[in-house]
Amino acid sequence: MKLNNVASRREFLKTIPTQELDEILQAELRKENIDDDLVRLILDVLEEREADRPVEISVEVATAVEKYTTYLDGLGKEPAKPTRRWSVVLKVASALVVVGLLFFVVPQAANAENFFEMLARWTDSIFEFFSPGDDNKQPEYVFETDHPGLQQIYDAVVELGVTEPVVPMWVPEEYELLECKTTSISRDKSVHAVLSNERDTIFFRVSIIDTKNGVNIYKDELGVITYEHNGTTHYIMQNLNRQIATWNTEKNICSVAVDCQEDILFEILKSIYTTEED
Amino acid sequence: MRSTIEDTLRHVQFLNRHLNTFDLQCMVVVVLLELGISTKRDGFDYMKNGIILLCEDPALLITKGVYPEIGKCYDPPVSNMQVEHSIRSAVSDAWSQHNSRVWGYYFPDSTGSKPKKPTNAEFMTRIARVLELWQGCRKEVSYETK
Amino acid sequence: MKRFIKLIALVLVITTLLIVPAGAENVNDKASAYFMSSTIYLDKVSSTKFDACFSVGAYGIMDELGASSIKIQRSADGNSWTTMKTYTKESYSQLICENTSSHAAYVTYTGTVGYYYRAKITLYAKQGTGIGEVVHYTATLRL
Repeated sequence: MKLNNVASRREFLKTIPTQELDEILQAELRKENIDDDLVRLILDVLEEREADRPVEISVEVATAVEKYTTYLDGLGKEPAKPTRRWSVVLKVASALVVVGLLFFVVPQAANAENFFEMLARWTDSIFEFFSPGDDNKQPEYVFETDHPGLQQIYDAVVELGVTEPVVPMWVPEEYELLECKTTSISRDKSVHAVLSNERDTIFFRVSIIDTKNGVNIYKDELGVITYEHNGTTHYIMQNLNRQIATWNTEKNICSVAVDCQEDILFEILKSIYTTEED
Repeated sequence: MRSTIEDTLRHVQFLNRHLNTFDLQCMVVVVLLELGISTKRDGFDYMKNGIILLCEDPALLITKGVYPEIGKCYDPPVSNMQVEHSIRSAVSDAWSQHNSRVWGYYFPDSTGSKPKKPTNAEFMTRIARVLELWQGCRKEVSYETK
Repeated sequence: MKRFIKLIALVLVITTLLIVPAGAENVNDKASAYFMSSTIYLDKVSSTKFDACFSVGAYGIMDELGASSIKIQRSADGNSWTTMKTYTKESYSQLICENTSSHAAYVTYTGTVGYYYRAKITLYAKQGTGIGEVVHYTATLRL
Protein backbone atom coordinates (compact mmCIF):
# COMPACT_ATOMS: atom_id res chain seq x y z
CA MET A 1 0.00 0.00 0.00
CA LYS A 2 1.53 3.28 -1.05
CA LEU A 3 1.08 6.11 1.42
CA ASN A 4 1.27 9.37 -0.42
CA ASN A 5 0.30 12.05 1.99
CA VAL A 6 2.05 13.11 5.15
CA ALA A 7 -0.90 12.49 7.44
CA SER A 8 -1.32 8.92 6.26
CA ARG A 9 2.37 8.27 6.64
CA ARG A 10 2.36 9.69 10.13
CA GLU A 11 -0.58 7.51 11.16
CA PHE A 12 1.14 4.47 9.77
CA LEU A 13 4.42 5.24 11.56
CA LYS A 14 2.55 5.59 14.85
CA THR A 15 1.62 1.94 14.63
CA ILE A 16 5.27 0.83 14.44
CA PRO A 17 7.18 0.04 17.67
CA THR A 18 9.96 2.38 18.74
CA GLN A 19 12.80 -0.03 18.13
CA GLU A 20 11.66 -0.67 14.57
CA LEU A 21 11.31 3.07 13.99
CA ASP A 22 14.89 3.48 15.15
CA GLU A 23 16.04 0.86 12.66
CA ILE A 24 14.10 2.48 9.81
CA LEU A 25 15.57 5.86 10.75
CA GLN A 26 19.13 4.54 10.89
CA ALA A 27 18.73 2.71 7.60
CA GLU A 28 17.28 5.76 5.89
CA LEU A 29 20.21 7.91 6.97
CA ARG A 30 22.64 5.45 5.43
CA LYS A 31 21.03 5.85 2.01
CA GLU A 32 22.41 8.12 -0.66
CA ASN A 33 19.02 9.69 -1.41
CA ILE A 34 17.42 10.31 1.94
CA ASP A 35 13.66 10.65 2.19
CA ASP A 36 13.58 13.95 4.09
CA ASP A 37 9.92 13.70 5.02
CA LEU A 38 10.25 10.17 6.35
CA VAL A 39 13.12 11.15 8.66
CA ARG A 40 11.20 14.18 9.96
CA LEU A 41 8.03 12.16 10.49
CA ILE A 42 9.86 9.44 12.40
CA LEU A 43 11.49 12.03 14.65
CA ASP A 44 8.10 13.68 15.25
CA VAL A 45 6.47 10.39 16.20
CA LEU A 46 9.34 9.44 18.51
CA GLU A 47 9.30 12.86 20.20
CA GLU A 48 5.55 12.60 20.72
CA ARG A 49 5.98 9.28 22.42
CA GLU A 50 8.70 10.60 24.71
CA ALA A 51 6.75 13.74 25.56
CA ASP A 52 4.45 11.48 27.59
CA ARG A 53 7.33 10.07 29.59
CA PRO A 54 10.29 12.48 29.53
CA VAL A 55 13.76 11.02 29.92
CA GLU A 56 16.15 12.68 32.32
CA ILE A 57 19.31 14.13 30.91
CA SER A 58 22.14 11.79 31.73
CA VAL A 59 25.01 14.25 31.99
CA GLU A 60 26.22 16.88 34.40
CA VAL A 61 25.34 20.03 32.48
CA ALA A 62 27.18 22.55 34.61
CA THR A 63 30.42 20.59 34.58
CA ALA A 64 30.14 19.99 30.85
CA VAL A 65 29.56 23.66 30.14
CA GLU A 66 32.51 24.67 32.30
CA LYS A 67 34.74 22.12 30.61
CA TYR A 68 33.64 23.19 27.16
CA THR A 69 34.00 26.90 27.73
CA THR A 70 37.45 26.37 29.24
CA TYR A 71 38.38 24.39 26.15
CA LEU A 72 37.15 27.11 23.80
CA ASP A 73 38.90 29.73 25.86
CA GLY A 74 42.15 27.82 25.65
CA LEU A 75 42.18 27.63 21.87
CA GLY A 76 44.74 29.86 20.21
CA LYS A 77 46.59 30.92 23.35
CA GLU A 78 50.18 32.08 22.87
CA PRO A 79 52.97 30.20 24.62
CA ALA A 80 53.68 31.48 28.13
CA LYS A 81 56.53 33.98 28.42
CA PRO A 82 58.92 34.24 31.36
CA THR A 83 57.43 36.51 34.00
CA ARG A 84 58.54 38.16 37.19
CA ARG A 85 57.52 36.62 40.45
CA TRP A 86 54.99 39.30 41.33
CA SER A 87 53.16 38.99 38.03
CA VAL A 88 53.08 35.23 38.47
CA VAL A 89 51.45 35.73 41.86
CA LEU A 90 48.92 38.08 40.30
CA LYS A 91 48.16 35.64 37.53
CA VAL A 92 47.67 32.78 39.98
CA ALA A 93 45.41 34.95 42.10
CA SER A 94 43.44 35.96 39.01
CA ALA A 95 43.12 32.34 37.93
CA LEU A 96 41.84 31.41 41.38
CA VAL A 97 39.27 34.15 41.19
CA VAL A 98 38.20 33.03 37.72
CA VAL A 99 37.97 29.40 38.77
CA GLY A 100 36.00 30.39 41.82
CA LEU A 101 33.62 32.40 39.69
CA LEU A 102 33.23 29.52 37.26
CA PHE A 103 32.30 27.15 40.04
CA PHE A 104 29.82 29.54 41.55
CA VAL A 105 28.57 31.53 38.60
CA VAL A 106 28.65 29.10 35.71
CA PRO A 107 26.58 26.34 37.33
CA GLN A 108 23.93 28.85 38.29
CA ALA A 109 24.01 30.43 34.86
CA ALA A 110 23.86 27.03 33.22
CA ASN A 111 20.74 26.14 35.11
CA ALA A 112 19.13 29.47 34.43
CA GLU A 113 17.18 30.35 31.33
CA ASN A 114 19.90 32.77 30.27
CA PHE A 115 22.41 30.03 29.53
CA PHE A 116 22.11 30.54 25.85
CA GLU A 117 22.96 34.17 26.34
CA MET A 118 26.09 33.03 28.08
CA LEU A 119 26.76 30.56 25.32
CA ALA A 120 26.00 33.25 22.83
CA ARG A 121 28.44 35.52 24.62
CA TRP A 122 31.01 32.80 24.53
CA THR A 123 30.24 32.36 20.87
CA ASP A 124 30.58 36.08 20.31
CA SER A 125 33.80 36.12 22.24
CA ILE A 126 35.08 33.26 20.16
CA PHE A 127 34.37 35.24 17.07
CA GLU A 128 36.08 38.22 18.60
CA PHE A 129 38.89 36.15 19.97
CA PHE A 130 39.42 34.20 16.78
CA SER A 131 39.36 37.05 14.38
CA PRO A 132 43.06 37.79 14.45
CA GLY A 133 44.20 40.53 12.14
CA ASP A 134 40.72 41.94 11.97
CA ASP A 135 41.35 45.09 13.94
CA ASN A 136 37.80 46.39 13.61
CA LYS A 137 36.36 43.08 14.76
CA GLN A 138 33.86 43.58 11.95
CA PRO A 139 32.46 40.67 9.95
CA GLU A 140 33.84 40.37 6.45
CA TYR A 141 31.61 42.20 4.01
CA VAL A 142 30.18 40.18 1.13
CA PHE A 143 27.89 41.91 -1.32
CA GLU A 144 25.21 39.55 -2.50
CA THR A 145 22.01 40.49 -4.29
CA ASP A 146 19.53 39.03 -6.75
CA HIS A 147 18.70 42.45 -8.14
CA PRO A 148 20.64 43.19 -11.33
CA GLY A 149 20.21 46.95 -10.85
CA LEU A 150 21.76 46.86 -7.38
CA GLN A 151 24.57 44.71 -8.72
CA GLN A 152 25.24 47.34 -11.38
CA ILE A 153 25.32 50.06 -8.74
CA TYR A 154 27.68 47.98 -6.64
CA ASP A 155 29.99 47.40 -9.60
CA ALA A 156 30.07 51.14 -10.27
CA VAL A 157 30.84 51.89 -6.63
CA VAL A 158 33.60 49.30 -6.53
CA GLU A 159 35.15 50.83 -9.63
CA LEU A 160 35.51 54.04 -7.71
CA GLY A 161 37.51 52.14 -5.14
CA VAL A 162 34.86 52.02 -2.42
CA THR A 163 35.11 48.79 -0.45
CA GLU A 164 32.91 49.62 2.53
CA PRO A 165 29.28 48.50 2.72
CA VAL A 166 27.36 51.38 1.15
CA VAL A 167 25.12 49.77 -1.47
CA PRO A 168 21.81 48.19 -0.46
CA MET A 169 21.40 44.52 -1.23
CA TRP A 170 17.63 44.78 -1.32
CA VAL A 171 14.94 46.97 -2.76
CA PRO A 172 11.25 46.05 -3.10
CA GLU A 173 10.36 43.97 -6.11
CA GLU A 174 9.52 45.54 -9.45
CA TYR A 175 11.96 48.42 -9.06
CA GLU A 176 14.09 48.72 -12.16
CA LEU A 177 17.27 50.65 -12.57
CA LEU A 178 16.69 53.67 -14.77
CA GLU A 179 20.14 55.20 -14.52
CA CYS A 180 23.40 54.55 -12.76
CA LYS A 181 25.90 57.28 -13.48
CA THR A 182 29.42 57.83 -12.29
CA THR A 183 30.80 61.35 -12.33
CA SER A 184 34.41 62.09 -11.62
CA ILE A 185 36.00 65.52 -11.63
CA SER A 186 38.85 66.95 -9.66
CA ARG A 187 38.49 65.74 -6.06
CA ASP A 188 34.92 64.50 -6.28
CA LYS A 189 33.74 61.12 -7.50
CA SER A 190 30.13 60.07 -7.24
CA VAL A 191 27.76 57.32 -8.21
CA HIS A 192 24.14 58.36 -8.56
CA ALA A 193 21.39 55.86 -9.30
CA VAL A 194 17.65 56.01 -9.90
CA LEU A 195 15.36 52.99 -9.52
CA SER A 196 11.67 53.12 -10.27
CA ASN A 197 8.59 50.90 -10.34
CA GLU A 198 6.60 53.42 -12.38
CA ARG A 199 4.82 54.64 -9.29
CA ASP A 200 7.57 55.26 -6.78
CA THR A 201 11.26 55.94 -7.07
CA ILE A 202 14.36 55.18 -5.05
CA PHE A 203 17.46 57.33 -5.35
CA PHE A 204 20.90 56.33 -4.24
CA ARG A 205 24.06 58.40 -4.18
CA VAL A 206 27.54 57.86 -2.82
CA SER A 207 30.18 60.53 -3.05
CA ILE A 208 33.85 60.10 -2.27
CA ILE A 209 34.82 63.28 -0.58
CA ASP A 210 38.22 64.80 -0.72
CA THR A 211 37.23 68.39 -0.25
CA LYS A 212 36.73 70.61 2.76
CA ASN A 213 33.32 71.72 1.49
CA GLY A 214 31.48 68.51 2.10
CA VAL A 215 28.14 67.63 0.59
CA ASN A 216 24.79 69.40 0.62
CA ILE A 217 21.68 67.30 1.13
CA TYR A 218 18.47 69.15 0.38
CA LYS A 219 15.66 68.94 2.90
CA ASP A 220 12.58 70.78 3.95
CA GLU A 221 11.90 72.56 7.22
CA LEU A 222 11.00 69.41 9.19
CA GLY A 223 13.52 68.15 11.71
CA VAL A 224 16.22 65.52 11.37
CA ILE A 225 16.11 62.26 13.33
CA THR A 226 18.89 59.76 13.75
CA TYR A 227 18.76 56.04 13.14
CA GLU A 228 21.55 53.87 14.50
CA HIS A 229 22.29 50.61 12.78
CA ASN A 230 25.45 48.56 12.53
CA GLY A 231 27.40 51.20 14.41
CA THR A 232 26.51 53.91 11.89
CA THR A 233 24.39 56.98 12.54
CA HIS A 234 21.97 57.61 9.72
CA TYR A 235 20.31 61.01 9.54
CA ILE A 236 16.71 60.80 8.40
CA MET A 237 15.01 63.83 6.96
CA GLN A 238 12.23 64.83 4.62
CA ASN A 239 12.22 66.63 1.34
CA LEU A 240 8.63 67.31 0.32
CA ASN A 241 7.15 63.82 -0.10
CA ARG A 242 10.44 61.99 0.10
CA GLN A 243 12.27 60.37 2.98
CA ILE A 244 16.02 60.68 2.82
CA ALA A 245 18.67 58.93 4.82
CA THR A 246 22.21 60.15 4.75
CA TRP A 247 25.30 58.95 6.56
CA ASN A 248 29.04 59.02 6.23
CA THR A 249 31.68 56.36 6.31
CA GLU A 250 35.38 57.13 6.60
CA LYS A 251 35.70 58.63 3.14
CA ASN A 252 32.23 58.55 1.66
CA ILE A 253 28.98 60.36 2.08
CA CYS A 254 25.98 58.27 1.16
CA SER A 255 22.32 59.03 0.66
CA VAL A 256 19.24 57.04 -0.08
CA ALA A 257 15.92 58.71 -0.79
CA VAL A 258 12.55 57.10 -1.33
CA ASP A 259 9.16 58.51 -2.13
CA CYS A 260 7.28 55.55 -0.74
CA GLN A 261 6.71 54.47 2.89
CA GLU A 262 9.35 55.19 5.47
CA ASP A 263 9.58 51.56 6.54
CA ILE A 264 10.87 50.70 3.07
CA LEU A 265 13.70 53.17 3.63
CA PHE A 266 14.69 51.40 6.85
CA GLU A 267 14.62 47.99 5.19
CA ILE A 268 16.84 49.32 2.43
CA LEU A 269 19.27 50.74 4.98
CA LYS A 270 19.44 47.49 6.92
CA SER A 271 20.11 45.56 3.73
CA ILE A 272 23.34 47.50 3.24
CA TYR A 273 24.90 45.73 6.18
CA THR A 274 23.36 42.31 5.79
CA THR A 275 26.59 40.47 5.37
CA GLU A 276 25.33 37.16 6.80
CA GLU A 277 28.66 36.82 8.45
CA ASP A 278 27.80 38.28 11.86
CA MET B 1 9.07 29.53 25.93
CA ARG B 2 12.79 29.99 25.45
CA SER B 3 14.76 26.75 25.56
CA THR B 4 17.33 26.25 28.27
CA ILE B 5 20.59 24.47 27.68
CA GLU B 6 19.12 21.45 29.42
CA ASP B 7 16.24 21.35 26.93
CA THR B 8 18.72 21.48 24.09
CA LEU B 9 20.98 18.78 25.47
CA ARG B 10 17.99 16.62 26.31
CA HIS B 11 16.91 16.91 22.68
CA VAL B 12 20.38 16.04 21.39
CA GLN B 13 20.44 13.10 23.80
CA PHE B 14 17.12 12.02 22.28
CA LEU B 15 18.60 12.13 18.76
CA ASN B 16 21.73 10.33 19.90
CA ARG B 17 19.72 7.59 21.54
CA HIS B 18 17.52 6.87 18.53
CA LEU B 19 20.34 7.07 16.04
CA ASN B 20 22.40 4.82 18.26
CA THR B 21 25.54 6.61 17.20
CA PHE B 22 27.43 9.77 17.69
CA ASP B 23 28.85 9.69 14.23
CA LEU B 24 29.20 13.43 13.69
CA GLN B 25 28.15 13.36 10.06
CA CYS B 26 25.00 11.44 10.91
CA MET B 27 24.12 13.82 13.73
CA VAL B 28 24.66 16.86 11.52
CA VAL B 29 22.43 15.42 8.77
CA VAL B 30 19.63 14.73 11.24
CA VAL B 31 19.86 18.15 12.82
CA LEU B 32 19.72 19.85 9.42
CA LEU B 33 16.77 17.71 8.40
CA GLU B 34 14.80 18.43 11.54
CA LEU B 35 15.47 22.15 11.03
CA GLY B 36 13.77 21.85 7.66
CA ILE B 37 16.80 21.96 5.33
CA SER B 38 16.21 19.76 2.32
CA THR B 39 18.87 17.24 1.35
CA LYS B 40 18.14 18.06 -2.29
CA ARG B 41 19.65 21.54 -2.03
CA ASP B 42 23.30 22.34 -2.67
CA GLY B 43 23.26 24.34 0.53
CA PHE B 44 22.58 21.18 2.53
CA ASP B 45 25.90 19.57 1.64
CA TYR B 46 27.73 22.85 2.05
CA MET B 47 26.25 23.34 5.51
CA LYS B 48 26.94 19.77 6.52
CA ASN B 49 30.58 20.12 5.55
CA GLY B 50 30.79 23.56 7.14
CA ILE B 51 29.43 22.36 10.49
CA ILE B 52 31.79 19.40 10.51
CA LEU B 53 34.71 21.74 9.79
CA LEU B 54 33.66 23.99 12.65
CA CYS B 55 33.44 21.02 15.00
CA GLU B 56 36.96 20.06 14.05
CA ASP B 57 38.33 23.58 14.24
CA PRO B 58 36.20 26.06 16.21
CA ALA B 59 38.68 28.82 15.39
CA LEU B 60 37.99 28.64 11.65
CA LEU B 61 36.64 31.88 10.18
CA ILE B 62 33.54 31.54 8.06
CA THR B 63 34.35 33.49 4.92
CA LYS B 64 38.11 33.03 4.96
CA GLY B 65 38.16 29.46 6.21
CA VAL B 66 34.91 27.55 5.98
CA TYR B 67 33.64 28.68 2.60
CA PRO B 68 36.91 28.13 0.74
CA GLU B 69 37.33 24.70 2.33
CA ILE B 70 33.81 23.76 1.29
CA GLY B 71 34.37 25.05 -2.23
CA LYS B 72 37.56 23.03 -2.65
CA CYS B 73 35.67 19.76 -2.16
CA TYR B 74 34.04 20.08 -5.55
CA ASP B 75 35.29 19.79 -9.10
CA PRO B 76 35.27 22.42 -10.41
CA PRO B 77 35.65 24.27 -7.09
CA VAL B 78 32.67 26.29 -5.95
CA SER B 79 33.18 29.98 -5.29
CA ASN B 80 32.75 31.51 -1.84
CA MET B 81 29.88 33.58 -3.19
CA GLN B 82 28.05 30.52 -4.46
CA VAL B 83 28.56 28.66 -1.19
CA GLU B 84 27.33 31.64 0.79
CA HIS B 85 24.34 32.16 -1.46
CA SER B 86 23.31 28.50 -1.37
CA ILE B 87 23.54 28.31 2.39
CA ARG B 88 21.64 31.54 2.84
CA SER B 89 18.87 30.41 0.48
CA ALA B 90 18.54 27.08 2.23
CA VAL B 91 18.34 28.74 5.66
CA SER B 92 15.81 31.29 4.42
CA ASP B 93 13.57 28.62 2.93
CA ALA B 94 13.69 26.54 6.07
CA TRP B 95 13.06 29.62 8.18
CA SER B 96 9.93 30.49 6.23
CA GLN B 97 8.23 27.36 7.54
CA HIS B 98 10.27 26.72 10.64
CA ASN B 99 9.12 24.66 13.59
CA SER B 100 9.77 27.03 16.47
CA ARG B 101 10.10 24.27 19.03
CA VAL B 102 12.92 22.55 17.11
CA TRP B 103 14.59 25.79 16.03
CA GLY B 104 14.42 27.00 19.60
CA TYR B 105 16.76 24.18 20.71
CA TYR B 106 19.59 25.58 18.61
CA PHE B 107 18.64 29.22 18.11
CA PRO B 108 16.88 30.69 21.12
CA ASP B 109 16.63 34.06 19.37
CA SER B 110 14.38 32.41 16.79
CA THR B 111 11.56 32.16 19.33
CA GLY B 112 9.62 34.80 21.18
CA SER B 113 7.77 37.89 20.06
CA LYS B 114 10.52 39.07 17.69
CA PRO B 115 12.04 35.92 16.21
CA LYS B 116 15.38 36.49 14.60
CA LYS B 117 16.55 34.40 11.68
CA PRO B 118 20.15 33.29 12.17
CA THR B 119 22.80 34.36 9.71
CA ASN B 120 24.86 31.74 7.87
CA ALA B 121 27.64 32.01 10.43
CA GLU B 122 25.29 31.80 13.40
CA PHE B 123 23.46 28.87 11.86
CA MET B 124 26.51 26.70 11.34
CA THR B 125 28.37 27.79 14.44
CA ARG B 126 25.49 27.23 16.86
CA ILE B 127 24.85 23.74 15.57
CA ALA B 128 28.56 22.93 15.80
CA ARG B 129 28.73 24.28 19.34
CA VAL B 130 25.71 22.29 20.49
CA LEU B 131 27.00 19.05 19.02
CA GLU B 132 30.48 19.63 20.43
CA LEU B 133 29.03 20.46 23.83
CA TRP B 134 27.03 17.25 23.78
CA GLN B 135 30.08 15.29 22.75
CA GLY B 136 31.95 16.77 25.69
CA CYS B 137 29.08 15.92 28.01
CA ARG B 138 29.59 12.24 27.37
CA LYS B 139 31.98 11.27 30.11
CA GLU B 140 34.11 8.96 28.04
CA VAL B 141 35.09 11.76 25.64
CA SER B 142 37.67 14.39 26.41
CA TYR B 143 38.54 17.36 24.24
CA GLU B 144 41.75 17.25 22.30
CA THR B 145 43.49 20.54 21.85
CA LYS B 146 45.45 20.96 18.64
CA MET C 1 0.79 112.21 7.27
CA LYS C 2 4.55 112.23 7.48
CA ARG C 3 4.35 110.02 10.50
CA PHE C 4 2.03 107.64 8.69
CA ILE C 5 4.41 107.39 5.71
CA LYS C 6 7.34 106.80 8.06
CA LEU C 7 5.38 104.07 9.79
CA ILE C 8 4.58 102.33 6.49
CA ALA C 9 8.23 102.61 5.44
CA LEU C 10 9.32 101.11 8.76
CA VAL C 11 6.91 98.20 8.37
CA LEU C 12 8.18 97.60 4.86
CA VAL C 13 11.82 97.64 6.02
CA ILE C 14 11.12 95.27 8.89
CA THR C 15 9.23 92.92 6.60
CA THR C 16 12.10 92.90 4.12
CA LEU C 17 14.64 92.21 6.85
CA LEU C 18 12.54 89.29 8.08
CA ILE C 19 13.04 87.52 4.78
CA VAL C 20 16.23 85.93 6.03
CA PRO C 21 18.27 84.23 3.35
CA ALA C 22 19.15 80.60 4.08
CA GLY C 23 22.58 79.14 3.44
CA ALA C 24 21.33 78.50 -0.05
CA GLU C 25 19.17 80.98 -1.87
CA ASN C 26 16.12 79.41 -3.47
CA VAL C 27 15.55 81.14 -6.75
CA ASN C 28 12.58 78.89 -7.20
CA ASP C 29 10.46 77.61 -4.26
CA LYS C 30 10.40 74.16 -5.74
CA ALA C 31 14.19 73.80 -5.86
CA SER C 32 14.32 70.87 -3.46
CA ALA C 33 11.82 68.99 -5.58
CA TYR C 34 14.64 68.56 -8.08
CA PHE C 35 17.91 68.36 -6.17
CA MET C 36 18.94 65.51 -3.91
CA SER C 37 22.56 66.32 -3.23
CA SER C 38 25.38 68.55 -4.42
CA THR C 39 29.03 69.37 -3.85
CA ILE C 40 30.65 72.66 -4.79
CA TYR C 41 34.23 73.76 -4.24
CA LEU C 42 37.27 75.49 -5.64
CA ASP C 43 40.29 73.36 -6.47
CA LYS C 44 43.66 75.07 -6.80
CA VAL C 45 45.62 73.67 -9.73
CA SER C 46 48.58 76.07 -9.80
CA SER C 47 49.73 79.27 -8.17
CA THR C 48 47.34 81.34 -10.31
CA LYS C 49 44.80 78.88 -11.61
CA PHE C 50 41.90 77.13 -9.95
CA ASP C 51 38.89 75.07 -10.97
CA ALA C 52 35.40 76.02 -9.83
CA CYS C 53 33.70 72.63 -9.52
CA PHE C 54 30.24 71.30 -8.87
CA SER C 55 28.60 67.89 -8.72
CA VAL C 56 24.84 67.52 -8.46
CA GLY C 57 22.42 64.61 -8.12
CA ALA C 58 18.74 65.01 -8.89
CA TYR C 59 15.45 63.37 -8.09
CA GLY C 60 14.90 61.71 -11.37
CA ILE C 61 16.10 61.99 -14.92
CA MET C 62 16.09 65.66 -15.81
CA ASP C 63 15.81 67.13 -19.27
CA GLU C 64 18.67 69.42 -18.27
CA LEU C 65 20.83 69.28 -15.17
CA GLY C 66 23.90 71.16 -14.06
CA ALA C 67 24.64 74.84 -13.45
CA SER C 68 22.99 77.76 -15.17
CA SER C 69 25.89 80.01 -14.20
CA ILE C 70 29.20 80.13 -12.35
CA LYS C 71 30.35 83.56 -11.23
CA ILE C 72 33.94 83.93 -10.12
CA GLN C 73 34.22 86.61 -7.45
CA ARG C 74 37.30 88.28 -6.06
CA SER C 75 38.07 90.16 -2.91
CA ALA C 76 41.10 91.92 -1.55
CA ASP C 77 40.11 91.48 2.10
CA GLY C 78 37.72 88.53 2.05
CA ASN C 79 34.73 90.75 2.81
CA SER C 80 33.78 92.82 -0.19
CA TRP C 81 33.33 90.82 -3.38
CA THR C 82 33.39 91.69 -7.07
CA THR C 83 32.30 89.41 -9.88
CA MET C 84 35.23 88.97 -12.23
CA LYS C 85 33.80 86.50 -14.73
CA THR C 86 30.52 84.77 -15.39
CA TYR C 87 30.23 81.44 -17.13
CA THR C 88 26.74 80.63 -18.37
CA LYS C 89 25.24 77.42 -19.64
CA GLU C 90 24.54 79.09 -22.96
CA SER C 91 28.22 79.82 -23.50
CA TYR C 92 29.80 76.84 -21.75
CA SER C 93 28.01 73.65 -22.78
CA GLN C 94 29.86 71.50 -20.23
CA LEU C 95 27.84 73.13 -17.46
CA ILE C 96 24.68 71.27 -18.50
CA CYS C 97 23.98 67.65 -19.30
CA GLU C 98 20.73 66.45 -20.86
CA ASN C 99 18.57 63.47 -19.85
CA THR C 100 20.41 62.59 -16.72
CA SER C 101 20.02 62.41 -12.95
CA SER C 102 23.60 63.37 -12.16
CA HIS C 103 26.16 65.76 -13.55
CA ALA C 104 29.52 67.22 -12.59
CA ALA C 105 31.60 69.88 -14.32
CA TYR C 106 34.13 72.64 -13.69
CA VAL C 107 35.53 75.78 -15.22
CA THR C 108 39.13 76.91 -14.93
CA TYR C 109 39.94 80.46 -14.00
CA THR C 110 43.26 82.26 -13.91
CA GLY C 111 43.41 84.71 -11.05
CA THR C 112 45.86 87.11 -9.43
CA VAL C 113 48.09 86.10 -6.59
CA GLY C 114 47.27 87.81 -3.33
CA TYR C 115 43.51 87.94 -3.79
CA TYR C 116 40.69 85.89 -2.30
CA TYR C 117 38.40 84.09 -4.67
CA ARG C 118 35.08 82.31 -4.41
CA ALA C 119 32.50 81.04 -6.88
CA LYS C 120 28.78 81.66 -6.85
CA ILE C 121 27.30 78.60 -8.51
CA THR C 122 23.64 78.44 -9.50
CA LEU C 123 22.61 74.83 -9.82
CA TYR C 124 19.95 74.23 -12.41
CA ALA C 125 17.43 71.50 -13.23
CA LYS C 126 14.73 71.44 -15.87
CA GLN C 127 12.09 68.79 -16.29
CA GLY C 128 9.24 69.42 -18.68
CA THR C 129 8.04 72.92 -17.99
CA GLY C 130 9.38 73.00 -14.44
CA ILE C 131 12.69 74.56 -13.50
CA GLY C 132 14.59 74.43 -10.24
CA GLU C 133 17.59 76.50 -9.23
CA VAL C 134 19.58 76.83 -6.05
CA VAL C 135 22.55 79.11 -5.40
CA HIS C 136 25.65 78.14 -3.45
CA TYR C 137 28.88 79.91 -2.62
CA THR C 138 32.09 77.95 -2.44
CA ALA C 139 34.57 78.34 0.36
CA THR C 140 37.14 81.06 -0.17
CA LEU C 141 40.49 80.36 -1.78
CA ARG C 142 43.48 82.65 -1.54
CA LEU C 143 45.96 82.63 -4.38
